[in-house]
Amino acid sequence: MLTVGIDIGSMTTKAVAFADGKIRGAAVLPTGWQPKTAGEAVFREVQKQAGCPPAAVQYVVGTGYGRACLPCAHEVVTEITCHARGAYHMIPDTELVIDIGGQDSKVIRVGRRGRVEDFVMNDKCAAGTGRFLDVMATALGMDVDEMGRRATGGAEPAGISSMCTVFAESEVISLVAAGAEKASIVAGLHHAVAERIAALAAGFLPVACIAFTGGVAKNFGIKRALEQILGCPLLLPEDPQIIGALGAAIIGQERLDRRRI
Amino acid sequence: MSIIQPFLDAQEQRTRELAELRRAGRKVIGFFCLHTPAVLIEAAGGIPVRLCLQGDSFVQRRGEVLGRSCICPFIKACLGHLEQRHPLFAQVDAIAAGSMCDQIRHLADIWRSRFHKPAYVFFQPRGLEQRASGWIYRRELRWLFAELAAFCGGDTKEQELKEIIARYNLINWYLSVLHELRAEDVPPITGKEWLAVVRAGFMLASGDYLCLLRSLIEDIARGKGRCRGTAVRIMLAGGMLAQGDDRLVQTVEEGGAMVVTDALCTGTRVMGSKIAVQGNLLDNIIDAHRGKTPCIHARPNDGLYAYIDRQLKQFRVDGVIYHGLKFCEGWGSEWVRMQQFLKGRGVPNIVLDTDYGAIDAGQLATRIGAFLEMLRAQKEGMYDGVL
Repeated sequence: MLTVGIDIGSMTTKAVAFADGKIRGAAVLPTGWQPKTAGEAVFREVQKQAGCPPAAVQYVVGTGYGRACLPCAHEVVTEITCHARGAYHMIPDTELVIDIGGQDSKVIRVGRRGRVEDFVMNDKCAAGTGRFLDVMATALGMDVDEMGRRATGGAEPAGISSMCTVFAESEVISLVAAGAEKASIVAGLHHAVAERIAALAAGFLPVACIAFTGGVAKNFGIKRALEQILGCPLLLPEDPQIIGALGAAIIGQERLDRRRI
Repeated sequence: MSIIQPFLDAQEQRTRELAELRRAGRKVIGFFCLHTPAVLIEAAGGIPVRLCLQGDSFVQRRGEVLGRSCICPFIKACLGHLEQRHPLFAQVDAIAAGSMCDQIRHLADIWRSRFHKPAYVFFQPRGLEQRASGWIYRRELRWLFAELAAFCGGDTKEQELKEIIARYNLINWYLSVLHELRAEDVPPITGKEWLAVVRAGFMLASGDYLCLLRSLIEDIARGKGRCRGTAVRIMLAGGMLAQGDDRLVQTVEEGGAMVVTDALCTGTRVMGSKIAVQGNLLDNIIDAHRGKTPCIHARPNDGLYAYIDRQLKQFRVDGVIYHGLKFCEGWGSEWVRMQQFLKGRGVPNIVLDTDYGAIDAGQLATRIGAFLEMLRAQKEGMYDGVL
C-alpha cells in the first residue's frame, strides 16, 4: 500500500513515498516558477526510488502553498496538519513542532496521535522565514548553507534591530560597511530570527519535547539560538525538510486504512 | 439563482434611486457605524445610507493621499471612494458620525474640510456605567436629530414617526427570525448570504428592505434555499466586514464549514431591542439604540462578551475566528481579553488580521484550512491517525 505526499513550498518542493510504516523514497527540488512541474518531477523521482510503476501509488496527498496545483493529488491538506503528523511519526513524544519554511514559520501544539491542538503562524511578511535568511545571505555574499556553517564558530552576535526583510538587509549592508565580522552578523541574524520564533512559541511553553522541522531546521545557527532562548533542546528529525511531505503521505495511508475498515 | 438575489438586484438600483430622490429635494445622510441610528436619520427627514464598502489597492492608495498609510483599510477605502467620487459616495449630502471610533472622527474632519459638506459628529460616552452617560447620550442624539431635521427640512409628524418606528421594529424582528433559523442543523442561508442580506439594509429604503425580508422569510418557510448541512460551525467575531470583503467567509465556507453566527459590526450586532411607541418617541429611539450590544471601545463592554456567550451556545459553535482590520486599535487590542474569554470556555479560536489586499491570500487559506482541519479532527476524528 504505497502513498505519496507532495509538499510544494515557496522555495523547495518535497515528496515522500511511504509504505508499511517506512519511507520508500524522498526527493527535494527547487520550486522555481512552475510549482506544478516541480511537484510532478518529485513525484516521478520518489516513484523511481520506491521502484514501482505509477499505478502502484494508491493515494497522493498534496500540501504546501502550491497544494492546489497538483492534478495527481487525491486530496489536499494544509502543511500545518502535515507537519504535526510527520513530526509525530518521527518523534512520537513531540508536543510542539516549530516549522520554519521558505515563507512561513509556524508553531504547532501536537496532541494525541499527532493531531493539531492549536497553532500560530507568522504574519504575512517574510520576517523570520527561510526567505529572510536567503535575502540576508545574498547581502553577505554567501549562500544559506555557508551561513549555517559560519554559525559553528560561536561569534558574538551583532545587534540586528529590524526584522523587516528590507530594513534588515539595509542594516546588514551598513554593518558590513562599518567593518563588522561576517560571522558576527550571521550570528546576529540567527539570533533575531530565533527571537521572533520564540515569541510565537511563548504561548505554548513549557513543554517537554519540541521537534524542529522545515528547511531552516538544517541551519545549526538558528537551532542553537532557538535552544538558547527557549532554554531547552530542539529535536531534529532525520531530514527535517521532508516532514511536511512525510505527514501528507501518512495521512494518505490513514485514508486507505479507513477505507479498508 | 440564490435566494437572496432580490437583495442584490435592489442594491444595484439604489444609487440611481438616490439620485432621483435628491433631485426631488431629499437629503442623503451617510454614516459608518452601527451605533449611529438610521431610524433617527429617517425620523429627521433624511435618507440614511451606511457607507460600508471595501476598496481595492487603487482605492487604498487614493485614500492614502487624504489620510495616511497607517490608518485602517476601511477608513482608507472611504477616503479613496470620496476622492474618486464613487457613485454612492457622490450622492451623500452630509454625514453623521459617532465619536466612539477615533478614525471615523478623523474621517469626518477630512470630509468637512476637503469636501465642504456638513459632518455631524456626536459624542458617544465610552464609560457606560458613568451616571451621566445616559443623559449625555440623549442630549447628543437629540442634538443630532435637531441638526439633521434642520438640514433635511424634516417635519415628521407623530403618526409618521410611529410608522417609521414600526418599520424598523419589523426589520429588526425579521432579521432576528432569519438569524435564529441559522441555529438549525441545515441553515437556510449561508454565512456569506446572511452578511449580504444585512449589508443590503445599509443602503435600501427601509420600506423596500422590509418587503424583501418578508419575502425571504416566506420563501424559506416554503422550503426554498435549504443549503447543505455542516459538520463544522463557525462564529466570526470582530469589526467590519464591508461590502465586497468576503474573503474570510468565503474561504471558510468553501472549506466545507459554515459561518452560523457572528459578532460583527456588519453582522448580527446591527440588531437591537424593540423601540417603544408610547411616550416620547425620540427618547424611545435613543434609549433602544443605547441598549444595543456595546461597542468594543465602550467600558465596561461585558455586554459584548455576554452576547458572544449566548451565540456560542445557541448556535452550537465549534470554533471562533476573530477578525480585525489592520491598524484597528480597538479590535486589535481586545484580542487578549477575547482569547482568555474563549479559552475559558474551551472554544477553539484563531485570530486573523486582514486588509483589502490579496497578498495574504495563501496564508489566509492555510490558516483557515488548518483551523478547519483541526476542528474537523476534534469532531469527526478525521486526520486522527489510525496508524
